[in-house]
Amino acid sequence: MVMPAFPKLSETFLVNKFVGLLRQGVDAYVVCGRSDESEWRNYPHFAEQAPLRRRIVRSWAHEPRWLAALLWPFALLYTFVMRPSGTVRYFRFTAKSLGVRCLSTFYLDAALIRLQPDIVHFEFGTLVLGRTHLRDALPAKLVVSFRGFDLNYSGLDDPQYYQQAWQSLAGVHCLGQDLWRRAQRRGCPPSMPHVLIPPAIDVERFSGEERPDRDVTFSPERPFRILCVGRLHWKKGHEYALLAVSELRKLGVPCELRVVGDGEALESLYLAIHELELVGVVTLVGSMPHEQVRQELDWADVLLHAAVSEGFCNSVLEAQAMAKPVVCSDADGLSENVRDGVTGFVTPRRDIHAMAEKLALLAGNAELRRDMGAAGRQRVLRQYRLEAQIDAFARWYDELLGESSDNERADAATLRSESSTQDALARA
Amino acid sequence: MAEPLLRMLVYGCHNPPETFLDRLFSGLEARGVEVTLASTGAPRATEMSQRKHWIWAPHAVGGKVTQGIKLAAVASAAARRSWSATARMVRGASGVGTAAAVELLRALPLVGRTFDVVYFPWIESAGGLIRHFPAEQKIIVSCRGTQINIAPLNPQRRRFRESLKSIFERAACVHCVSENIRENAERLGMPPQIARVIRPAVDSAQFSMQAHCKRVDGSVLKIVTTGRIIWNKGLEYLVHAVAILRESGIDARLEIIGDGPDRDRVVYSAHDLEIEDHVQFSGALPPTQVRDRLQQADVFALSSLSEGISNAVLEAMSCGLPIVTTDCGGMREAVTDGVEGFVTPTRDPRAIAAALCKLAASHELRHSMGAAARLRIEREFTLPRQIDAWMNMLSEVAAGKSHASP
Repeated sequence: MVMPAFPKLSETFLVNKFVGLLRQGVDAYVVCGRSDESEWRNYPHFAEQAPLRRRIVRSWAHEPRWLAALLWPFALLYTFVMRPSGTVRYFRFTAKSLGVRCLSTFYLDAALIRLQPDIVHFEFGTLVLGRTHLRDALPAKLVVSFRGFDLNYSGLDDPQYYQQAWQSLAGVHCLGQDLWRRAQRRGCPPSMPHVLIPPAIDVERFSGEERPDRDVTFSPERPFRILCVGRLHWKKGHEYALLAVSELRKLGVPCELRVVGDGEALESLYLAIHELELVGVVTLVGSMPHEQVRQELDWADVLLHAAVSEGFCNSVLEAQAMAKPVVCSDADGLSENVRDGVTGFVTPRRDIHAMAEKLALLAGNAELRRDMGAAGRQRVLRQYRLEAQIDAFARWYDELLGESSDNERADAATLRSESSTQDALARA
Repeated sequence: MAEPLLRMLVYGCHNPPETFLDRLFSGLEARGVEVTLASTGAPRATEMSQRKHWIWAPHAVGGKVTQGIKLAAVASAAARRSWSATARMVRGASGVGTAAAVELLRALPLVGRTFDVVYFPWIESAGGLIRHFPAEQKIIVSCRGTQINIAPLNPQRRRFRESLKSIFERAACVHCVSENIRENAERLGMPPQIARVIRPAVDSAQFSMQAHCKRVDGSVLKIVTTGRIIWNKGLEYLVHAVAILRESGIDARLEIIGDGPDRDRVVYSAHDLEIEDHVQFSGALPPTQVRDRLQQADVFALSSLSEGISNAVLEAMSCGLPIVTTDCGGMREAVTDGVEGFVTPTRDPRAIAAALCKLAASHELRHSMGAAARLRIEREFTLPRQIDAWMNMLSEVAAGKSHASP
């Protein structure tokens, strides 16, 4: 699994996937650029499990550049000692196809050469760019996950952006139908082996309780509680959420909005709060660990997600698991995530009036809130269980490797995934 | 060479300076002010000027090693000019560590040099530096936009707010680019008596009106906007407005001149709203080319969420374009709703579209509003007017009339 940083709070789904695959006996490793100690604090249950953490391999430091130049010979030496034939094979192929550039790509790829994986899974679409030579240089099957931004706006004005990737990939994973359609629009051949696996959540950790103050008529003392969860980034559309809340207040609904998340859009939101006269109505609470997000969800009467671009959105799933109704935009996967009129309402993106109208409808009808919440929980229990998602990935990897090598892999996996990993998993 | 009327040091602008600053400095130089830039390298020549005076003030960027080397170089140069002043400054630096080193790196180039006036075109670059000047040094800072209108709203930037207060206490004069900025700065603790509103100016000879007859009703409406592509410009709302306009059957085309970190967002919006074939991203262009594009357009649109006062709008007005602008910052001080164009609420694509629609429908309206815009520039926003105001301010400050330093 290749990703920029691991673990990361906003990418907990990758932590779940990694641990889930290991439990299934897949010999999984993470290769990442950064692994910050501060982030580990959010995952205490497996921060201390050395056998698990050994499976998280940081690529050789490439910033600052002088350090990379200094470390380069060591990277070569180490990789060569660990994998002599793999290193030779790598250079034999890349020297021909990339020329001198193979010296710098080697440095980036050293961690992968040492691991010699059967499958390299780039967890975000953009990560595969410039790495397509790995197919023959390792060699390995290259697969990629498209999660939203990578298809929606990365390199959008360059028609050749993913051209190389389409030729080298063994498979594509998309979170939903919508992203698969977008992939094809950006040049992915329809014949490309692909799999649609929606995100999943640990249903047991998110459960709603019945609370007496849910069915009240909202008043200035007990306003309608709206929650937004998501990085403060333009694609999450928080500014539209603020506009919708401002409209809702014009409709006379006493309400309160809390926004969970942090990011570069912070100042734009403070400006909007100030100008829309929402000081005291909206609170930006910052980012927080998962357990606290659960408490925030527990606090809320409804989840609002006004995104303009969104892969699928885990927090919308989590809200449904907590039996909260959802009002969201129709950005990408969201209309697959929420069933319009059943588990919540799906409105056109950037349409603040429609959002306000649906919020008002929910604010005025306790029974509707309860029914939609219950339907949401049912739907998540049925369709978005973590176990099912991990199974789907493991099955897909097996398919990619084919029947014969499948058995080989299973044998190798049991051999290689030392018992210490399984012990560590049990403890974690 | 004749003795200069006044010696002014400019600290914290780009090299070469931003166009509007370059124009201002050239104007002041023509009136006998000696303008010295503090920059990392010899001033680069621009279309307008070739500046001779500069002092070496390296940027506080790079790793610790690089910064250390720079600091040593700056300190030894300062010590050669005045050993005692350098020693005093190093002793007076607030503590040890990276922050103190950065502060010294910025302050040491000023040791042992005297200027009648030190000018900070961006108020944030004065923070941390201003206390190192001797009490009798006259200081002018400019309040332009973001730092006054946006940053102070962020509770996480309390320290910045406090630094603003100390800057206002120390400055001899605070230049505000609009009345709106002045009001907001006063709310942040600026004493009213040191404020001076001088609005920006345009070179109306360079940004001239094109006499040719423009769009005939019914053909493509060419909308143009210029500026850095950053969130403050609200371009997503403008792209949305153009989409609404097209939906209502008006063949409109938007050209965005400029570049910036929010480009992805705006490109995505255009694709997402399915008008990508009708939005052109021209990238950043030199002033002469900007002028050419403005002269070929029918309407200028500004969708900003916050502004001091937009130079881009003034340039477009100078070219005789009718304006559709959002009601932010000092924009109402340049555009009166219904005269030079239309003023719409911020974050309201429907209102922007409605205003554009009115202009699309009538050749006469575009023409009369464009002419009114040009007239207003010629009356209120000319270079000589701005330079006069600046000369007044500078000489008052230098003579110590404006505000007694503490």
